[in-house]
Amino acid sequence: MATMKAQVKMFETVGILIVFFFLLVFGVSFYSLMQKSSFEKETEKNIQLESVKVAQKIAYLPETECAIVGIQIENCIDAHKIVAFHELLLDDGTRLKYFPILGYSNVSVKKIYPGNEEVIPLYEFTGGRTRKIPTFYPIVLYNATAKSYDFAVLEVDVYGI
Amino acid sequence: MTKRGVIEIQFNWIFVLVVGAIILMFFFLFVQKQKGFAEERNAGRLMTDLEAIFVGAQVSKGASFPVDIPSIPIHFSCDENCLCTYEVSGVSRQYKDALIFAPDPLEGNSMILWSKEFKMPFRVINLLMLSSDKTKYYVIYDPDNAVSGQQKEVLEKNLPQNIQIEYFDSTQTDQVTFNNDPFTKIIILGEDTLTDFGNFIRLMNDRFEDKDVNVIVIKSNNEIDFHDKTRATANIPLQPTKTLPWFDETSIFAASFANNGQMYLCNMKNSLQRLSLVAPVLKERAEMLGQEDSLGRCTYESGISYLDDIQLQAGTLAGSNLVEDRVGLGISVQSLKNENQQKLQDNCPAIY
Repeated sequence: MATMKAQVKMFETVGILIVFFFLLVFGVSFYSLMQKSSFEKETEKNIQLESVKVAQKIAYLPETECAIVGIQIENCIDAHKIVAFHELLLDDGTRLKYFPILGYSNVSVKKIYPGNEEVIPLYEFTGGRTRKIPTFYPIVLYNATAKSYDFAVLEVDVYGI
Repeated sequence: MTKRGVIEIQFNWIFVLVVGAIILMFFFLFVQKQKGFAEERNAGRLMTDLEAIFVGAQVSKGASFPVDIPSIPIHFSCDENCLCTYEVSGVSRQYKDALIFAPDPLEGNSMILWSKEFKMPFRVINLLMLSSDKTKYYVIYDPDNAVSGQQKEVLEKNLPQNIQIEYFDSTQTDQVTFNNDPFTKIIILGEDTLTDFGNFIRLMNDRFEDKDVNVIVIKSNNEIDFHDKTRATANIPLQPTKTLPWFDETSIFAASFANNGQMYLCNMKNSLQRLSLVAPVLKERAEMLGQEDSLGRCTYESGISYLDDIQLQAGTLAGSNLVEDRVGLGISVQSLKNENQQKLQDNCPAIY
């Protein structure tokens, strides 16, 4: 009789433990799921931040900026400089030197007005990554020989993991 | 109670104790792990925020502004291979393309950021100088020496107002004392400013024992002597470590904000490497401008040649740890400046 009682008690304790561990496992998996989603959100935010940083850097690079009599013009890119810069970036060695600045991104300038739309590629290094966040910045494109300004958009696609 | 019953009760208690201990251990380990993870995540977030601040500061030329920071030390350093990093709570990150001149440690409630253009003669990059409300700067100058006095005026006029800086003439060196600041920088303007430099260094070793201090001497022959000492090597007194060139006012500011000679060397090397990357872009552009000028009124041959020289000389100087002859680079820079001026006078598109 006493053995029976002890066995029932034992089963009770084991049952409580099973329920407890079941709840614990459920709690931990729920927590890790939440963590994963917050990590994904953070990664997304970081890529967006990276995209803003790359665009900021591009607009202020001496290789692209417009400077008239040595004075830098805000949100302005020199049309001749970007063509020259792109030509130099076609060389893998040179492109590698710009990797710390531009990272995994695809940068181009789209001339919008006046005349026909024209896309001038600048830098491309995706490293096999596919997930991208595109960012667009309105800029003016300065032509030093014609002394004219065109409306354009700087398109920066930053690639995430 | 039977013997069997006693064993049963005892076993129950042992079972409860073992399982309780396992559960407690599990929670304890979980909390510990989470704590470490949270600390690492916070340090990572702070570094991401810092990086965004650095980029923002870097692209705003000539700007100086304070940023509130948590009062934990941030360590900036460059190793022998010029791998420059900043570190918060044991988490370190390389500072990519930014060229940062900062004390080590940077501590306080407010970080002061100042960006300054490095021009050769066109803008190459914006150098980023960091300080804090707990970083002390002493400038010692010779009032009887014109160059020293002039350099003092340049520093007074240009350095951000909110940094902790004091100016003393060569007779007031007694006032250079440890002020409870985590990092102190002593800037001596002119190699002959102090009559007994050896005695001054001995005095500083006594006053700054076990403290982070760096002494630089800005010499009239366009060189800077660095005397380094850090808390990590507290038993080693202040000693001359490097003699490196300065190119313009901006490089003097950079040396004044750098933690040691190695940081200045690495960042200036990177600046020159950037110069050797920017020059070919301007060269290609000048070639295009020349081709587009159908009347042949604006020629860019000389400019292209100077840009070629600058690219070559900057690359060589950077590759030689700044020891190669820099006079040639200075001449090419001045020639390009004159050529650009000429282009503007001729109403031609400028070279830069």
